[in-house]
Amino acid sequence: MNSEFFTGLVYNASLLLAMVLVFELLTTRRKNSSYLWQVMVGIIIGGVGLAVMSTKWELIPGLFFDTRTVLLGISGLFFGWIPTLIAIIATVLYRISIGGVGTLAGVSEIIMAGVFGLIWRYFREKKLHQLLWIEMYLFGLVIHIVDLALVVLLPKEIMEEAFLTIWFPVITINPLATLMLGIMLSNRLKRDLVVERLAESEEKFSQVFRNGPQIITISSLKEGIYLDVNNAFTEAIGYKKEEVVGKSVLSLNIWVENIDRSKMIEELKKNKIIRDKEYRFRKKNGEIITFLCSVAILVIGGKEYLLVLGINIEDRKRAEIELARANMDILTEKHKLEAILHDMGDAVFVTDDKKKIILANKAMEILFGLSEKEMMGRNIEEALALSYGTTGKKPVDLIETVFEKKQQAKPVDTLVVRNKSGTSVSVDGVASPIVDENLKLVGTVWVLRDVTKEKALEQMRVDFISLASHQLRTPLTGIKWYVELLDQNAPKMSIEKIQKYIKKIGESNNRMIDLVNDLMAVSKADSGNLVKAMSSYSVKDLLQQSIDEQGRLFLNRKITIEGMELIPEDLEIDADITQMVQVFGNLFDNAARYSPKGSKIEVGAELGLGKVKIYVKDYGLGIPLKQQGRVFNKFFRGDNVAKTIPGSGLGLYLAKNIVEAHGGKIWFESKENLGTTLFVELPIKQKNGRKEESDDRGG
Amino acid sequence: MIVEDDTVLANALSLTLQNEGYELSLATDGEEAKKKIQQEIPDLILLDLLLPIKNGFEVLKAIRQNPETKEIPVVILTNFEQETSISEGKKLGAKDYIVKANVDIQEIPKIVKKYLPA
Repeated sequence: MNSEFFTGLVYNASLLLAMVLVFELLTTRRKNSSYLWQVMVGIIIGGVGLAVMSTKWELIPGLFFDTRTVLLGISGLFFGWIPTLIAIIATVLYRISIGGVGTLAGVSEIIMAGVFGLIWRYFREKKLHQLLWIEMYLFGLVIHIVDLALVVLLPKEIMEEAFLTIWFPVITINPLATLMLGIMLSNRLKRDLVVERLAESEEKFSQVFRNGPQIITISSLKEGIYLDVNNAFTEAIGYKKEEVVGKSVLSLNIWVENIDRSKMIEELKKNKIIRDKEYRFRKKNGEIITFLCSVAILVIGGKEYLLVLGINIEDRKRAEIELARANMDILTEKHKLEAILHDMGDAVFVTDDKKKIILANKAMEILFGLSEKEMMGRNIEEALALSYGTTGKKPVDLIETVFEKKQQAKPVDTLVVRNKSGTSVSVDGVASPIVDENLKLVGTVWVLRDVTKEKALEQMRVDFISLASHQLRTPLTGIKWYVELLDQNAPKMSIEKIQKYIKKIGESNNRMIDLVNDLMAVSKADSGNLVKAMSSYSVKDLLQQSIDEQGRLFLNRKITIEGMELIPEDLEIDADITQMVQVFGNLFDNAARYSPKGSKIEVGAELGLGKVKIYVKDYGLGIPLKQQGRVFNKFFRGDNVAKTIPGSGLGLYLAKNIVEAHGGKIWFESKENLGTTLFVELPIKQKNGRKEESDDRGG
Repeated sequence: MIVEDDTVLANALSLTLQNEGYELSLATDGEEAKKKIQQEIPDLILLDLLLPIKNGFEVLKAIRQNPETKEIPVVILTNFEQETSISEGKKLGAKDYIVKANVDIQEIPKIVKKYLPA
């Protein structure tokens, strides 16, 4: 073994490593993608190859040994085919230019090492940063075993000597040099990768910080000076970044309540972190804005900083308030509507488009006698006993119009509701469709109004007119017919007969006048204008006046009045005296008319608690029992008197109305053929502090 | 027969028809009319409607129910005028429905003559 050769090889390998270090410094952090760069690298590697080869050890003239196989192997493995090919060409040319016996072997080992590196690279699929030292050593060992085998290309005479001289250093030094160089490059790749990833990651985080949607600020914990803020913050708050960074929160007056910040820091010291808490800030233009913040303390270089992450929830807050307000409005409207619907006198119900009842108010429940449960969700035709009054048929026309034609519908005739209890109620109503914006039917709403009273009133009106015209026509017919009889027959008639006819005409005429007067009074009574001028009046005077008005009748029928002398003078009532005289006049008139000639009428007044009961008692025809319930009806005449005694049938109806308008009561007791007693009870006028006499003065 | 509760009108009718030579009977309420019609079987009835005790329709129904009286022609002579009562009268077979105030007294004998069976 030649120690000179060994030292040379070590020296050569060291040079190689040093060159590679220089190369590394030059090429750090450069992407090796472009062809131009690859060519450059090839030239540099070629240059290093030349340097290595120029520090060769000449074994025998023309036979050199150096570490070029290490360089080219590594080049093939780490740098790919373009740089390696350039390096191969450069070193081959250099070797050929030197010439000598070892030229063929020298050129061969250059090509072999480069190609071997490229093949290894190919199978390794470029994951060179993952190379382990053992693989690298194996790589170096295999190259140099093949390199030794290339000794066969030397002339036979020096082959043996050359092999024996070089085999040991080539097998030991070169694989080690390959290992070291490879590890160095692999580490460099690894480092590049880390740096690359770090840069990427830093870029990523920087992006997140700058342009993320969340508000981020970093400020010094103690002084509150902003170190950095992101775009979301500056956009939300209206300041530019440079207006904020370096300034303190106090000088910017950015917190609406500075105490909030102090509290926040206290809380942070306790809990390390604050999550999702609302804080209010002042924008540059003075508006208040709310951020939902998470806060933590950062320690950078031994100093404490406040990291605030926030979301601008101003829009959400405003929307929440508006929503709450809108909800409140809707709720208020709903309650209002429900209250109106509930308390409405008219029955209202709503159906869906399938004719099912989905809403019904209280009046509806009362009208049909059905509970809410008995109506909800049921088909209207099944649930509601509703039919036309005259035909008894279901109102299918209404249902068809509103559901099929989607038009408002009104019943053609009075509808009758058959209540669950069996009673019938006449109703009028309207059914309306509810359509959406596409004119699709969503439901219907029905309103039914109880018109029983109106119908009854209408019937009463018709009956009144029929009866009134009947009553008026009867005396008019009497006048008409007697005038006609006189007109035709007067010349042939005796004076007595003519006088008799004229008397009939006069009677009829008086009946007409009485009737019209009574009708006027009834009209007043019906319109509620009965009592006009209230004044204090003595009961005794009132009765006396009423008796006096009937004086002629009493005289004609030889009627006597008894009991007036027992009525106390000082018993007073408040009354419209004209009306009250009419009441008692009517009572006396009736009593006299329906009593036999020469009979008596008793009158009296009994004092009760705060009221007086006045009675007029006759011993006349009385009122038939079966008719007694109708005595105070308009146009009522007793069957036992109607054909013989004239009268309008309005007197007692009027009397009842007048007495009731004075806060009093009227009633009677009667037996047919025995007589009738009419009672009138009226409130008395209370005299200042003096108690009324309580003894009965009636008689 | 005249069924009329108002004495003045009953008098006028009686006078007129007696002058024409008709034999007359008078009833002044529904009950009396019913009885007299069954007893007397009149040739024609002038019937008022608003009558004491029983109204004209009840009288008319009674007439129609009795086979002996059901063919008697009845003319309703009244001052009560309501569509329902007119149709009710026609339904019960009244020959005519005459409103008293609308007819001259001289027309009454003509009406009687018109509906009196030959």
